[in-house]
Amino acid sequence: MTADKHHVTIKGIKDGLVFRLDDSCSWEELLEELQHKLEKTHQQILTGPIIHVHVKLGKRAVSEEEKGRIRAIIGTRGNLLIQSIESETGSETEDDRTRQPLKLVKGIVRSGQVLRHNGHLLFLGDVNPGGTIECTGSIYVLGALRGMAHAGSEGDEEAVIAASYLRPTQLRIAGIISRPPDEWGIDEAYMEFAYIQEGRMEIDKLQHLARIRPDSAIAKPLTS
Amino acid sequence: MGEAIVVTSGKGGVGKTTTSANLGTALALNGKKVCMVDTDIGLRNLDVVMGLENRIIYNLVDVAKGRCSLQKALIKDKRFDHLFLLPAAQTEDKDSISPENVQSIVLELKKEFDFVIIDCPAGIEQGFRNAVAGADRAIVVTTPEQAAVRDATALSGCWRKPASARRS
Repeated sequence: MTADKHHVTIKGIKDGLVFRLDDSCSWEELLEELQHKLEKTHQQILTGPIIHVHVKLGKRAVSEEEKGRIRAIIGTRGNLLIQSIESETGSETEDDRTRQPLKLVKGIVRSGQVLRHNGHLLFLGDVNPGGTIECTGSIYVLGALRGMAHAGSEGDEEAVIAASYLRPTQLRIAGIISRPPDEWGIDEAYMEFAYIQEGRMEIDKLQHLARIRPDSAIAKPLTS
Repeated sequence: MGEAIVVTSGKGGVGKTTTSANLGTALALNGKKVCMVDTDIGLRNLDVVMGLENRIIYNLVDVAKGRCSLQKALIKDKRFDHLFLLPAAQTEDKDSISPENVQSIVLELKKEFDFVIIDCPAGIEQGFRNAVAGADRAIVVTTPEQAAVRDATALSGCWRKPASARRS
């Protein structure tokens, strides 16, 4: 945990404290910081009379189970009493929250060129050997992927790389690097995708994408 | 302390990369510890010739800029345990490294390897100056064509200049 992240701000109000939890970071990161603040940097608020706490989640929509985790972290600290847990978007469904636009790019990535994108990318065209596609989200290539592709470049291991013709020089998902053919068993190169399972890169037929990554097209918000 | 040999030509397409690959392989076959350095930034080829393209993770520019250690960027050859390749960057500009960068990297490699084979880009600009910076001697490759021989001669003159400048 680095000190420069401020996803959790604690403010005093008339009748207690407001915990403002940032809505753009990842859920796990948020909980980690909340716990860190309560245990390490803001212990002083844990002593004294009972304090009423209001938790504001911004635009983040959470399930009852997730609210429970917040309660578990804050509520276990003796004198803190949770009054409310609110988010600004009551009506939005989970899908609306997590859906990220899929950016469409047409063209050809030649040797020496790099196509970078922040988010998910659908690329119509070929990626030639020596060419590179780098995305923070997933990469879908409608064409031949013969060059290098790096999905989840900021560490998202849920990201996938799919291509009509998957014959890359190298694949990277988050921090994991793989290359054909000695590590992959499949000879058929049509309509496949790469994903991370238990820290290893696996290749499977594209029709299994829905099963292996049910939420891949609407992947989780990025931890940027 | 090993020896650094730059393979250069002036004219393109006369077989610098082929010579580098074969020379490196032949030395490795003779039991020498060899490292090949590709300095053709933007148009790297040595990795393709050696069939090591898909193993590249870090490159010469990454090392020069301190983004990774020299050891991490070296790629071991598929066939020989004593043969290594330091690939060039594909997506950077050739001005992204300086002759001093290459010189210190080659010096570092010479401590560990018997031979450092430096594959030079065509031309006599920045890329050439980078390539020859750390070299002890040069192999000038040419073909029996007037243009190629002319370039090889012209280049021999260029080579002496940086060499003498380095000594002073």
